[in-house]
Amino acid sequence: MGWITNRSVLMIIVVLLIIPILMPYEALGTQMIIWGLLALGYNILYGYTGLLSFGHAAYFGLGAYATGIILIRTHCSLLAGISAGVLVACIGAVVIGFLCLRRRGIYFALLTLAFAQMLYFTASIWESLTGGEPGLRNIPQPPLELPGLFSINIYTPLRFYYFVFGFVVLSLLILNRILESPFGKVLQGIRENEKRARALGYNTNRIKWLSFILSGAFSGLAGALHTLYISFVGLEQLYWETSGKILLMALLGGPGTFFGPFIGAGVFLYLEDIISAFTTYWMIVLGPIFVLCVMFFPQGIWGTIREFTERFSGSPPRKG
Amino acid sequence: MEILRTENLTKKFGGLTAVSGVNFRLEQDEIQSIIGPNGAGKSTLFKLINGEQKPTHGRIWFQGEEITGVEQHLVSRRGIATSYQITNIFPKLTTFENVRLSVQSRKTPYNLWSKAARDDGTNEKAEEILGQIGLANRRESLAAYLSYGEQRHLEIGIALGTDPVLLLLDEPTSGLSPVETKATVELIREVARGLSVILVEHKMKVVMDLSDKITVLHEGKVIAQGNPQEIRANETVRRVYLGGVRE
Amino acid sequence: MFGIPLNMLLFQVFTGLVLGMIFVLLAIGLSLIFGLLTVVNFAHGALYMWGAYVGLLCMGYFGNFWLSLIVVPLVIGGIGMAVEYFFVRRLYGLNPDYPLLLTFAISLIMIEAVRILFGTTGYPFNAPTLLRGSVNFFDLFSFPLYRLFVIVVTALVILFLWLFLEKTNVGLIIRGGTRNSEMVRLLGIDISKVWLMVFGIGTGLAGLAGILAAPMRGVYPEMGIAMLVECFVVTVVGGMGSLKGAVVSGLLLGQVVSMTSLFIPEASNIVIFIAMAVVLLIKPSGLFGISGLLE
Repeated sequence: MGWITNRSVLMIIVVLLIIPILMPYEALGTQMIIWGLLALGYNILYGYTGLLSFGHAAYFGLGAYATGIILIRTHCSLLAGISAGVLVACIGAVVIGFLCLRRRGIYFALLTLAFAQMLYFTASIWESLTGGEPGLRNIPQPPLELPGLFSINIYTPLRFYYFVFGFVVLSLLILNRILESPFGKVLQGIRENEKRARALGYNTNRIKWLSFILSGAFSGLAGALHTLYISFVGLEQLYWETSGKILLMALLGGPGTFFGPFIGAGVFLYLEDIISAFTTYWMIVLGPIFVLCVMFFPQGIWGTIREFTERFSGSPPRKG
Repeated sequence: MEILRTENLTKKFGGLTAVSGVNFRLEQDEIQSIIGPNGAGKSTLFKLINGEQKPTHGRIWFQGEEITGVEQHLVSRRGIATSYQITNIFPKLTTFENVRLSVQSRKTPYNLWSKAARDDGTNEKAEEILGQIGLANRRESLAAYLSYGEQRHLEIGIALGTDPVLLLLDEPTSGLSPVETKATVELIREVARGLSVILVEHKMKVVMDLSDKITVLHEGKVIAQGNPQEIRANETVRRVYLGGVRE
Repeated sequence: MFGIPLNMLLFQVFTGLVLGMIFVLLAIGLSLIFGLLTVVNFAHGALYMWGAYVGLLCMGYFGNFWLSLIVVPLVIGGIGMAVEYFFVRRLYGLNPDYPLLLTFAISLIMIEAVRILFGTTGYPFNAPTLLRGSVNFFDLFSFPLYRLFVIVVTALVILFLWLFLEKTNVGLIIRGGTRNSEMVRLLGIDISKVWLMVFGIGTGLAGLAGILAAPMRGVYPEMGIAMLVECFVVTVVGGMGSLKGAVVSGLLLGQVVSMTSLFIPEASNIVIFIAMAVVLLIKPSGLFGISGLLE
């Protein structure tokens, strides 16, 4: 089983390596890989643990704002800025996750939304920290450097793409490792049948909490990278529409797969691009696609492809 | 040695009394069946024992220690495993993974780093159980695609994975053909060596074949307890229950 | 009291009452649909918003507020039934996440549709001339007549609803709270009609809330989401599927928000979430603690 999973990871890495060549323009690829990472983080909670979150913009936003604020105020190094983002997003996930997990099922989803909204309102009020409505602009973009050794400006679309790519590879490897670990097995068990998992003696609430935190961490990382890329952070990143966007990408691509988040992000952003050329109201197109997905293809693009190939070969699913 | 004891166990759901004043005793290595008409309270009694429900009144002791009101996952850790009437498996995991997950429950789940596939102890035990329940050849199939009879066996396999002291089986042969029933009875007899078992069943032949002792429930109360011969001869039981049931 | 004149306090209590009533209307609708169908209707906020917009249209077409007040719930209820019939119904019995996702998607479409048709900025909505002006309460404070009207209308609607649920057969089935009950078969009623009805009533209430709220809050595409989230909080606090819980926690939270905007105005947007967090920590199953179905 192990080599199959690793093959998927390898495949994604190869595909992502050459994606920039295939993209109509570089910036699209960079956006795609950042949002893909975000969707990957989301997927830990939704696709693998089976918990639907409507408020993931919270961790994306927390990571984005934390990185932005610390860079503006302290002009710290690149890695310090990113770490700050991830850390703050983690803390958010610890607190919010704890509160949301006090309830199960549907309530959990609603609670995630509520807390994300709370953060949104808090951010819009706390102008001195977050810049309020206009947001924080001209955030410093420190180079990737080892003092004395080298210093690289990574802020062209192509360079930043490969910078993020590095993080994505790392994330995929870590995630893969986690999913193959005893912990990862329990996560999937919880997704399949939480009641039974609990009956077997697993403290499912605590395990879900840990999954929540991991998910928040990766989402925060995406947020941090996003801030660095566009040198800006604003309230939209905490807004429920962003949560919806993340959810849609994960669903569209295929929950519970590695390819899914990236496919979902790619297709979503590509469609947004094309349709926006005609109209600003592209949700009118995306909404029905979403509806179709939920009703007929809950496995998403990659999930449906995978299921198809399985039907014909009769073999069990891979984790990719 | 006494494995399980309940004293005056009662469960009310609002105005409805599902179980009332049940005194129950199970000896080590014993197979005891609980029988009774539909609605007699058998499933509820199970849920009280494994911690899924908390009793309204009464107490429960397991291996000498009181477990009244203890959380379900903690009761499981003490050595009580349940196999459910309505198949309760992990559908999109393979047969092997289903059992493996159960065996793994005895170790800490907070291991995020080592590969589960390398954990020989757990994997070997899982293979063993897989063999016991006769599903070794269905190892890599998704549990959702197993036949009903195979799923019932997997059900039992998952319960066995936690290495229990007491096994609760809720209608393990429900929906099975006579041939499958026979195989399941054999399986139960096999696994019952070294385990204590409480069995809820409707099929009288299964009950009579397997049980060392039988408790009869009616409307939440115990109306008779004894070995199969005693129960078969008991007038009250006949009147209330055995009269309408197939042998 | 608290350094704030009594009349201001009372005014705020009444304001909280109005807000609470709107919460209640929406929360009851949500609760009804959830109680019977175990579906969380995410589109509730969008339907509320559409209620306001359809109200605008009606006012433009009929020029009569009272007529609009009747037409809007019917139209929105009709839309709700269509949503149930064509979409939600196919997802019964599956993972309860699916109807939530579906209605979420539908709400996105509904919001975007309004943006396209009516623009993004929104419109004012004028209260009918009959209801303009204020009422004087014992010379202590003046309260807008329209808001008083809203309180009265909502109270009447809740009363009628209560009577319907308590005294009729259909009401009994709805309160029974299972999607396919034995009782239904015994009574010879087609259960799918009950599903339609529940969705219709629930969403109709949302539409009513929308048009009632319009003169107070204006009409704009995003008005539904903030309201929806607040209503979710109401149901978390009171317990989804519990009508009593919806009423009590709706009114309670209305007061909480209102009072906060008096004493700590900056916090008025987030106080409802703080209240929710507190309830979660102390009594997770909500004030009326109905645990069980999807908890």
